[in-house]
Amino acid sequence: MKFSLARPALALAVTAMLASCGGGGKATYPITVTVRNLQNLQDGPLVLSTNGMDLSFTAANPVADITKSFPNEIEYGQRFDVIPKGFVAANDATASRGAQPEHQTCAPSTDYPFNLLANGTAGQLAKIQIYYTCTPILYPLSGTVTGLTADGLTLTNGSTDGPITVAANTTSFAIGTGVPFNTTYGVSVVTQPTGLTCSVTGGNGTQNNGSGVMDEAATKAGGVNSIKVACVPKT
Amino acid sequence: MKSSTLRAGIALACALGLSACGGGSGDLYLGGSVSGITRDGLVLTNKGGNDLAVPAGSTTFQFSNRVSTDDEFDIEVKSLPSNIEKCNLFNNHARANYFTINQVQIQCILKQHDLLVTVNGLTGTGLTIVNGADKQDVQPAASQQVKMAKVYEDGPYAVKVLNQPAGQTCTVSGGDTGTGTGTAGSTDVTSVVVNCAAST
Repeated sequence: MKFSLARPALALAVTAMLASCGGGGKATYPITVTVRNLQNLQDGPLVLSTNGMDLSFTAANPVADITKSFPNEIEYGQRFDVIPKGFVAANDATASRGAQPEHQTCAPSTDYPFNLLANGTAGQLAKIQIYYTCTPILYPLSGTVTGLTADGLTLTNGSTDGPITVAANTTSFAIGTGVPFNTTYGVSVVTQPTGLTCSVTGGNGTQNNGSGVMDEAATKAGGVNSIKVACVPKT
Repeated sequence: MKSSTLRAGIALACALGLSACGGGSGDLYLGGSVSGITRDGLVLTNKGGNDLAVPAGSTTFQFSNRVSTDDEFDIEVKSLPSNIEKCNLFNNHARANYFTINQVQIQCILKQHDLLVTVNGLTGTGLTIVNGADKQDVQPAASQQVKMAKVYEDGPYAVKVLNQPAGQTCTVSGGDTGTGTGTAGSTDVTSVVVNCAAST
């Protein structure tokens, strides 16, 4: 009777001691991610996932690096592959684009010293630190030209893009690499072609003067292509 | 008699041989990459001698004098093109070897100037003017100067009305073209004017 009580008590004490030792002491690794240049474009967050966990990033204002760790650490030897939620990971390569924040593309950083692999095995390096860089998507800014019978026309999008040279008999043009979401533009003639006067109209702004904002509708339409440059003989 | 002629001949041959090497006597060409040069005027120098003029539009440069392995080189900017604020140099000071001689990077930054737009007669709210991606909302005032984002020297600017104020129509004039467009010079751009009047 007396012994039967002592035995369970001893077992309990041993269990408690073991638990306090940390359950065997296998090393675990936090997965830390730094997201760079995530812009506040008033849409969903960037969600990264690995090992069945999600990690959500919302843009800082002003834009700054955001560093976070996944909720659970992984054990030594466990594989990880940090990808935007919805990505399909195959053979350690990100096969297709998944859920990205709208109007920007976030991918593992490629510039030194941030170009650390986003996938691997815990314990390969002393710690798991991954960098993602977000780049705004540029939507084309383009239009048509009529009556351009001479060389010398140059167009610009303010001080942002340009000037570009438009040769004689050209009927269409595109300025620069494009315009990010929610950014203004204004196309103007910098130099007139020989003997002609060109004027700019169109765009998706209210003034029909070649200015506007790359808004939601414009991005869905694949950019602004309604700039019109009309050239007539100089009077 | 015979040997002294021979000796002089050898000395002459040696001197000719050395001078044919171009004074540097080495076999490594010192060079690198350069960016942002839109005008002539950049002069680089290596340790105070051996100047090299880098013409407008260059993306690479190479000194004509060769250097030898382990020669110390120190490339500095001797003079800048008129429209350049400064050039940042990387890997410009080292000892010459196969890896260091072509690692020099020179990144030049254009001067920037203010773009100040005069807005007259604005009484209504809602005027927005843009210079490309730079947007400024303008509040009513009889006459004011609106400071836009800085513009690069020799770069274009083009001020436009994006949104008109309530009850008024504003028109952009000035600049090189008379329509608020032009190319920035070596001083602040102050010639763009926006005049607002009641809509008819």
